[in-house]
Amino acid sequence: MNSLLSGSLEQKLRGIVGGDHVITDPGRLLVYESDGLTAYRWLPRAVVLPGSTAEMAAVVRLLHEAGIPMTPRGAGTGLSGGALAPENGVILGTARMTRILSLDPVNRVARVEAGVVNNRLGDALRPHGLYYAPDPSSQPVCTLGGNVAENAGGPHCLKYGVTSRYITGLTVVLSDGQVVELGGSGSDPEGRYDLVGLFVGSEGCFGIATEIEVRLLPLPEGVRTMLAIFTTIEEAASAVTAIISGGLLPAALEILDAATIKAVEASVFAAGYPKDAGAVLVVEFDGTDAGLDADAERAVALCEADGAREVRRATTAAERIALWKGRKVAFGAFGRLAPDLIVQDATVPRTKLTEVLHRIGEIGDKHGLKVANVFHAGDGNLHPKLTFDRRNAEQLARVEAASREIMAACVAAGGTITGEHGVGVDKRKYMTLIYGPAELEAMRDAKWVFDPPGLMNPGKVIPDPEPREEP
Amino acid sequence: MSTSAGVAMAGLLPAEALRGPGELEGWTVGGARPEAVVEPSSVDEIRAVLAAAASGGFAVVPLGGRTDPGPESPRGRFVVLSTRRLAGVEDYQPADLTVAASAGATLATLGAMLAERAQWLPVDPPYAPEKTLGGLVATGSAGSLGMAYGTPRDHVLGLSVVTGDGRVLHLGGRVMKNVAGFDLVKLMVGSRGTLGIVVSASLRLFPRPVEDRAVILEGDGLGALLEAARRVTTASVVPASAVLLSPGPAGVGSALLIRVQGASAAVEADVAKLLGRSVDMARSQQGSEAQRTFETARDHAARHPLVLRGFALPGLLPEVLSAVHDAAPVAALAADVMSGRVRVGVEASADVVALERLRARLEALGGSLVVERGAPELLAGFPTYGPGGKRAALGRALRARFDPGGVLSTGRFET
Repeated sequence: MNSLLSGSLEQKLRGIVGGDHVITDPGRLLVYESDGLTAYRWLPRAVVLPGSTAEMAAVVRLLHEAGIPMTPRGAGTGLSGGALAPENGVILGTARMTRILSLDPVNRVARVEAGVVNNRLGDALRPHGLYYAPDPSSQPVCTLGGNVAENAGGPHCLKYGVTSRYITGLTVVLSDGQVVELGGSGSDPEGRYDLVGLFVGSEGCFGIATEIEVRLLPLPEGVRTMLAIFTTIEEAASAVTAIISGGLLPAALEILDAATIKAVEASVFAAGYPKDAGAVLVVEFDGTDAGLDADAERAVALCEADGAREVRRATTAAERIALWKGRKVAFGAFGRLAPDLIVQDATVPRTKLTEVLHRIGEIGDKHGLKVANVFHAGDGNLHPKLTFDRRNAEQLARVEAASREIMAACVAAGGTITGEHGVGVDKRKYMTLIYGPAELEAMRDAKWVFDPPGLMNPGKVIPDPEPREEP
Repeated sequence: MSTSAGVAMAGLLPAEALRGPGELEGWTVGGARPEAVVEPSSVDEIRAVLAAAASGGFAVVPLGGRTDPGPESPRGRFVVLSTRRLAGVEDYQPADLTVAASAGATLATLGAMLAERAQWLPVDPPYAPEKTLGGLVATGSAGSLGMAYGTPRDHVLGLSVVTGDGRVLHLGGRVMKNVAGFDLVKLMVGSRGTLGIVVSASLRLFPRPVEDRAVILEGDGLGALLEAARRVTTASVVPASAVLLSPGPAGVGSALLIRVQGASAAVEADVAKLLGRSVDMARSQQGSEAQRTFETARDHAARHPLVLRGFALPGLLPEVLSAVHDAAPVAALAADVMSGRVRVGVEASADVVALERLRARLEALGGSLVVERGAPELLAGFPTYGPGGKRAALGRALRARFDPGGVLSTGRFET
């Protein structure tokens, strides 16, 4: 099969990035056909892997001249189909941009290339007593460039906030190949518009970030982790509200429901949770050691007051890992239950958790689907999981219908359609649940400023101007 | 002659939304007097004002508590749009740690309500109690608590704004995590009334710390205090804030004020880590005494005739301070040692050449210089913000999309 690129363009691209770093072989392109959400599969025309900002800019300039759409991609762990190339599009991969450019322990900033893996930065920082706070579940493999594009979250956002709080500067390549510095060392965060904040979470639609400056924190001195076991999920949700209302600010508050516990315990990842539990709640505090035991005691008392039948406490690092284990493997554990899994993502006000969980249960029953829930309870971020087999079209249609109803239920409770996974291609159809034409038009305005020809990741995030009902 | 803006407004708004011609004192912007001050109480009234401005050829400058109106004079004729009558608290959910309120609600009003539930909004820009929620969003100023808690860009969960061309946008929401669509909330926060007029906002709140302690290290010169500051910024714990004040709280010398919050046992341990051996030289305050000290520090150096804001990485603070002292007769100075932001109050009018030299020195350090307050004559020769390069071009393009008629806050962000 011939390459989908014209011969001269392909040659020029290879001239910029080196012969091996332009992928056009259909077999190799298959890797890039989908991201972490396997329901969508689009084969790119080519994948280009520049090794520096300058190479990226040169590649983008060429593609811009040829009018070819581009999609930035990091590790491809996204869960909304955001890193798929549109029809005839080219993927701009950051896999070769993996240098940690500078690490400044005095000012607590680091500058990295976009392809640096989140955990690898953590490893480099540990000897300095520092860390990078945002910790999405895909942390061992996801890239910081992807984290920026998605404004990634993670279990510890409750206390520390999401990615955008930790990004102080970006080098970005816009769709015409122009390189622009946003923010950056020493720039006044209150001076002029917050273009860094606007760019973070733009899902590759504004341009591609090639270098990222991040703010670092000192590693907390102490950590206390507890696992509270409840008979019902209502009790667990009520304990979360009691902890927050009681003035405590845990680093994490994570709930696994009965269906998830069963899946985890039946899998090779068994974490030792009681199989008959209605829910487990992971509570973690971190900070100055001297204050932690008192906080932990109060949280235990609040969990017990809400009906916890047992509270396990980690006293060693190994025990802490054990308590977290079920949470960390919760997605993988569903692998043996069904061929496909949709991990939904929505946020509701924390006090509406119980009500919304009931509603999600009803929606699952109505469509004859099993729904399991794992969620960042402290900030109301739900991840209902639907298992199915995508080869079964009828079942897939029921999953689609249930997903839409779950989104609508979250929005009706005052929530939103995505807390951390992004809109991508999957949730464009839900954008009109939360935004009217004016807001969508304003978002198009912002995109236009960064990408007038509309070549950067088209077909993502914002529905087409006249929203049509998608099947 | 064109119709005066005041006359145009009188036909549009109810009498109570219009300040009389005799009440315009105190509403000058950058030394210029508005043709009218309007106080709309609804989105429709705001849109009517904007439409009248577009057709009448005058600008609209939104103002809240007037604690930080910016030094720029609007270009040409203008009216001030005060948010005073947009003042209600719409929805306070203590168990969700969120509050939604109208733009004109003052931080004092909000703070008193939150305190009843042992919660707070951790921001302390100058004259914070008089500041309105809309002003907080528009300026994006966190004060010295920003490094520990985040800034308004992190706290604001959702916004309703009216853009320059009268579009009403409901952005974000009331939940802690939200990545649905492009983050226009971040674009609006800190946009200083150039893209839209904030009507209401929802915010993330925090539990009030059990203990809130002031730890003060005093000295005659800055040298020893700068060393202590460096220890604080590189310690294994992050204080709520740390500010170098000159003169010190007692009006003489200099002082390093460190704010440490948390459970009592943790505060004690944190103070030891932050101060090391200097702990014996420090004095501590708690309760209302500490709160008064924090207020003094918060407002320090913010109301002099000329107020400058320098910024560079915190490790460069010694270089920044020496550049500042070389450039102007410093009357008061507050350096946030955690963020690297330095506020400088100057009594006498400074000379443009000296300011240009200071800006050049800070830019050579990778930093910047902004004028927060200053006489219009001075600013005619010295732009409020330094050159913005390509990002300023993106900013101008964004402004042209959200305020295509060029109605809002003219004269600002234009260099």
